[in-house]
Amino acid sequence: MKKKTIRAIMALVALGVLFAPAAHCEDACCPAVSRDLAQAPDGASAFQSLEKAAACCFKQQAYAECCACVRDAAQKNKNALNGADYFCALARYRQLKHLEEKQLWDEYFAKGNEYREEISSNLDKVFKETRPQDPVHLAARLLAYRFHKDMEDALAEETLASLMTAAAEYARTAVDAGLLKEAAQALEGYNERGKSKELYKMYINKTVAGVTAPGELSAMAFGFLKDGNLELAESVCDVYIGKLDQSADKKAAVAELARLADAFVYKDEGLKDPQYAEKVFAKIEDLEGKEAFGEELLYLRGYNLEKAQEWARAKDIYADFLAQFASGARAGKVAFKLGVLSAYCLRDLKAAREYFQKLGEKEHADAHVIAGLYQLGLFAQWEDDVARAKGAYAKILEKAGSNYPETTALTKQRMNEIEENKLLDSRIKDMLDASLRPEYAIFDMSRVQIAASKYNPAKGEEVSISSTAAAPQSGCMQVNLEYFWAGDGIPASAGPEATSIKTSFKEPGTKVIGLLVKTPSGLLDRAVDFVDVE
Amino acid sequence: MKSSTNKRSHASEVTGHRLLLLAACGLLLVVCFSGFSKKPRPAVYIKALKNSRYQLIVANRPYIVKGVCYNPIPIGLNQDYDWWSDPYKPWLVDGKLMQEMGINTIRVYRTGENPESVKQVIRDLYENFGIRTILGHWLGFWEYPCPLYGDKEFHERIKKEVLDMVAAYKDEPGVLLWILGNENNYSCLGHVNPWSTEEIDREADPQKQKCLRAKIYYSFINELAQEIHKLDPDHPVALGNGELVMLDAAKQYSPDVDLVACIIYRGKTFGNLFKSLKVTFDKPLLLSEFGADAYDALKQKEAQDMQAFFLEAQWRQIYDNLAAGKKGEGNCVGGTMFEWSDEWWKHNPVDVESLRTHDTASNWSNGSYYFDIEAPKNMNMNEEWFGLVGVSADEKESGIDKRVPRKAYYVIREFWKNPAAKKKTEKKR
Repeated sequence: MKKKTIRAIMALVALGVLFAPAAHCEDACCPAVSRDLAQAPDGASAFQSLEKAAACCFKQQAYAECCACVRDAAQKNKNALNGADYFCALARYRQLKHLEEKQLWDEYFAKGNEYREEISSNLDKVFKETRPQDPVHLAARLLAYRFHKDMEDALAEETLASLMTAAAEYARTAVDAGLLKEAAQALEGYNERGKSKELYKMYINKTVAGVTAPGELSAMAFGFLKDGNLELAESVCDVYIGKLDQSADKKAAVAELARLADAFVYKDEGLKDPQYAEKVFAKIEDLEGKEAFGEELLYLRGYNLEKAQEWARAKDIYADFLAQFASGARAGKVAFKLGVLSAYCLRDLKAAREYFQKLGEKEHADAHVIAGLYQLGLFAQWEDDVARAKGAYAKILEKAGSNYPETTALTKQRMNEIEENKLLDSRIKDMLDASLRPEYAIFDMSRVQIAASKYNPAKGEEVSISSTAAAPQSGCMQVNLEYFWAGDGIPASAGPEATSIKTSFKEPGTKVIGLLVKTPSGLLDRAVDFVDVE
Repeated sequence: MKSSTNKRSHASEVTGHRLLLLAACGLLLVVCFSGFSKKPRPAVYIKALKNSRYQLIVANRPYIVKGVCYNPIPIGLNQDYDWWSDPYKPWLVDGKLMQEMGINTIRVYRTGENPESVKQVIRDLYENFGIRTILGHWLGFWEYPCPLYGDKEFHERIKKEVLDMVAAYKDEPGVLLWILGNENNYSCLGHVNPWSTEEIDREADPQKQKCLRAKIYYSFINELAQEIHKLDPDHPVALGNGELVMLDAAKQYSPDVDLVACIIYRGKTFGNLFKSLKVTFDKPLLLSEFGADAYDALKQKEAQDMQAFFLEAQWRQIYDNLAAGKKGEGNCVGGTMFEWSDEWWKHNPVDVESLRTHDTASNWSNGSYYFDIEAPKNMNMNEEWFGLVGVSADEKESGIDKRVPRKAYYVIREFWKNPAAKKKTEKKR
């Protein structure tokens, strides 16, 4: 190619580079930011402009450029001055996070200290120049907390306390409570549940202050639920429940409370808070007594408590259910649940036996009757009461026929053990030992949990059951944990390394799944759960 | 005759006064140099300040431990190798690199077989590079079948070993302090290197079993500390402890230790460690083992930046919590990072091939090191990759595996030159 042509091309390229539109904040965000800030009539408006600026600038990672742009604009409007310090602190904070997340280490190491210093000094300026009533003050307190909490440094506690104080002050006079919600969400993210709830309460109190119609409150609560915000939904519900409490029409109030409880009860999919649902159920009982609970509602309450692993309370409610609805469709299921809760969760073998024996006397041998007989057989076999065990197992074989192949198969295994003078399957024996012997009371299911992917699967539908074990502290020496599954539907292939299992149930009924986790020196803990197959 | 008598009487009076004055001066001198004179301060000691803040004082000056755990096992060999007697003297190469980085202390978990070799290493590091040595003893933790802390014979044997060590090295100017044990306390929980006694076996309650073990173990520690103090008043005695586990028992049964040397792997920060220690067992804290590996188990490649990131964050928090740190608890005296150089034997100490391989399989899991926690089965801690310097299998330098400093080496070097605390102090001036 001729030299002249090459030179021409190079010149064109240079011009192109010079005038090519660059994706800088100055071009994309700055004009709008500058205009808004310059025109902001007060600090609150300036703060809102900064929020818009942040959304635009940080998306483009134009941290330093936007800070300069904001400072420049703030010179023209003193309402925006403190906001500029806050904004620049926020920009550096977001920049550090970006560098860490994207692992951009060169800049992180070269400039990290400098950026941290800038964050601290800018925030200090904001605190000096603003009052707690100013939104920028609260935002700066939140940023200070985030900054120090991320580093888990000595100021994390102090900045949290400062944030809460500032929030309380802000809540007294603020018109826009949005910042309180933002702070609450941030604390929730840091697992500061208690403090987060306090802030949500402040936010809700401000938000519902002008709301008088109960229907509006209800709609607000369900709106928050739909948005996935349990905390806000519950905060609004607390206010709503307060109004229902004072309502003259108790029946209508109870119906509405039942609707609320239903929104929070345990369910396999979707948002839930069984503890909160129980709080609502308790309010129903408070308003209209136990009579307020029909068959469905009472069962729901018991089931919710069962899933919340509030075993003793679940047992009480189920016992109430059985007393009131002994001939109801769910009576057998509830009687069985009472038996397994008594045995496996509350160490009450006597009560468990009574429930299963009563169940076993029923004429019609449904799934729960058969399963109850099997449990009776297990208890007897565990206690070496061979005759009693054989009696229970024989009854199963007589009543089950060909209808319950899984339980029949298990029963036959147990019968073989007895007939061949073998010991009860070690995993079942260990599970019964851990659940029933008083000296094992320390194994209270606090260190091991299991959870099913579905608690109401259809027959034959696959269910995964996973476990979590709080491994004992051991530094860098890994403690070898072994997993011993016992109960219904345990696959034969589930060896000691199986932290989870996949199974399916061909028979209807309530299935009992147990897990023992052991360390080299003995039992760590046990867990038990129940799956209802319709 | 009267005048000569007067003169004689005056002279006697003056002489008497002089004698009295001389006697008084003599008495004063005796008093100054005996009964009321202060005992000389130990070479190394802990100075307690207000509000449970502490400083380590060495040669009358505050000393921040800026150290590394040191165990230079060559590629192809394992923990049985007595590197103290290595003819190539790796510590001379390492010492220079360490000095350039700003390291002033090494920590060794145990001494070598030959006391003269050990002394030589301590002297070489101290005299050539100004690096002091923390000497430790495992207290039988790794003995087969288990550490028998409940057994009298075991006790006496370990005690003798410890006191022999102290006697052998206490007069070395390069010695900084003693550490008893490492993460031995986990054995009290019964899951790691578990040990027992008849009394413990009779106890059915696992919680009470732990308490019984803790009492035995920490009482033993205290006995050792007391004996060491008698033998060597010049150096502090540290209790090596995994996390803060069972330190409530240490408070009760090991009051005579001078400081706690904690092994902590909490990722980016130490959380509320400093405050928790103050509340549980108010002693100065040496972070005797902490750090990060330089291998990303998720991406399956070396990750020097990841290691540097964690170490820098950890050192910032250490500095915040020194006595001079305004923001923190003031009870930290520094730390010894794990570790100076990679050790290729750690994954499988008995497999010859493995000793020659820089294994990338993970030995344990720790969610605080979050960049690679999503590695299969969450196994993300790669024991053979904790070195601030890597070691080369392809090149030798001065007869040893060539040291290849990682990013963390440089990042910490720069941090120590200008930690944030220093910068603020300078500004105030």
